[in-house]
Amino acid sequence: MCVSEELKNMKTFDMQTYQNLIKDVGGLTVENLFVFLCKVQETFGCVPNEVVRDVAMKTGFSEARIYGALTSYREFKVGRECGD
Amino acid sequence: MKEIKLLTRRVGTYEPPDLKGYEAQGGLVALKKALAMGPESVIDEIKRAGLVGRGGAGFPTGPKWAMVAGEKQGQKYLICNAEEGEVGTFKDKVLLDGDPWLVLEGILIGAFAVGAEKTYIYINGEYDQTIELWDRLVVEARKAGLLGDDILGSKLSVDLQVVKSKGLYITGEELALISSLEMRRAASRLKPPYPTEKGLFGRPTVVNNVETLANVPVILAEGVEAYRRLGVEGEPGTRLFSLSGDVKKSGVYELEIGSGTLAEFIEEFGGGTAGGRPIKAVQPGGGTSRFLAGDSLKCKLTARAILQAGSGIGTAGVIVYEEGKSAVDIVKGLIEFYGFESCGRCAPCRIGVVRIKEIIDKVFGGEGTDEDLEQLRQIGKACVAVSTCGMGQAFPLPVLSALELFPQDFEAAIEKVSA
Repeated sequence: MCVSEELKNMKTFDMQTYQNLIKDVGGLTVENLFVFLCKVQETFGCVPNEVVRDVAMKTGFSEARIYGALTSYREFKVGRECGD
Repeated sequence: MKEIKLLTRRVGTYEPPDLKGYEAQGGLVALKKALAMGPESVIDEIKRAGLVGRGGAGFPTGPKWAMVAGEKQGQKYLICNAEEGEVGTFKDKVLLDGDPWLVLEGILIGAFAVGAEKTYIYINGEYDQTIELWDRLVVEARKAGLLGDDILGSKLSVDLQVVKSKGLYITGEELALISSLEMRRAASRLKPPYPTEKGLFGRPTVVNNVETLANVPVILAEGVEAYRRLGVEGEPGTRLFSLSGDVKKSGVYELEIGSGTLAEFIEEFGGGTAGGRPIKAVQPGGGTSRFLAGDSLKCKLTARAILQAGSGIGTAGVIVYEEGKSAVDIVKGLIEFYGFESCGRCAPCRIGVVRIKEIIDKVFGGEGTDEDLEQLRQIGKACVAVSTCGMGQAFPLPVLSALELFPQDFEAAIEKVSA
């Protein structure tokens, strides 16, 4: 998929789409967290702060660990980059 | 020299994710056979076949599986490494796109043999169409009862997650890959413990390359004896070679191991060099392998022969460079890439790659001195000796071998200034 096409398909963040994504992966677990956050990035073009807070609560990982991991990958956009 | 279609024989004959096309050509026979044989016998067969990993390190697959299968309690994982980030390597894509069911069958047999219920396939983020195809493939497989519970009416239950890699070279390294799935930054760690003891989430984990897993159904379907008839003593079977660089025809070719020499392969399949000039150097195992030149190009296409010639077969990504290019130029391009991709976890690689890059830039810019070359050698050797993972141990190899094989190129670059 080319970049412009990807941008066209990108949605702005809303809770309903986010909840549907969780349903799609069959519930959020430690085992599929990375895959899930990849899906969040692909759908919304970034991983907003509230998603990080939510997944941290649901998986028991600290927010710091999730931010630490996400920011080390070139293709994730986090926090301020999403306009948070 | 002839191409042998063993793993790639169904590529292009059916339209994935069409399962019927795969089954019509002898697909799933191996999985059914494996389910009837039981896990121990499957591992014995793979051991007898002498299959070694095709991802670069060349670790024997049978013993690796046996280690994980030995752990009886709790969750185990199998990861198919389709990151394929190595420079000059693109063989796995042929299998992932052309015959994905073969790879999936390999994953299922592997999961059955080691007792892993959760499996992952970690695909290079740049393979967009491949990832789309695999997403559809997983849906098809669930419908056909090949993923989920009670696969093909047996007690086997396996689930597969398709993971899109997030654009880092280092995630091709097994421990960095595991770290990334564990929601950590992608960086390697010290071994031991090996992933077979403490891998994903601290549980025993098998990490296999795509081509390795694609060999598994072939071995079981054809039988060990038939498989061992191909190849040479100690290295049975075929291998997918990716040919690129200064050749007329680049591409992926499946060859019987040891069926010809490196020079013959480049001549017959690549159609000779692109500019018609003689070959200057060849990297036989991807961008991190040592250069081969001159008579050493007459080595057979086996891991042992290439090692004896002074390089390594690695991922079997053959990169050809023809006369007319300076070795400094070639090495500069490679080091720029590896400098960008070092994960920064261990000091020798993190600092060494930057220093090497600085010195090469200096030499390339015509400001180098003899001491600089000596320093290159020292830093390179230090990185090889003490880096944590395969990348840090391997990226200086092209630099070191270029210094050995083409000192005149470096000296010419230095003398340009002093003159």
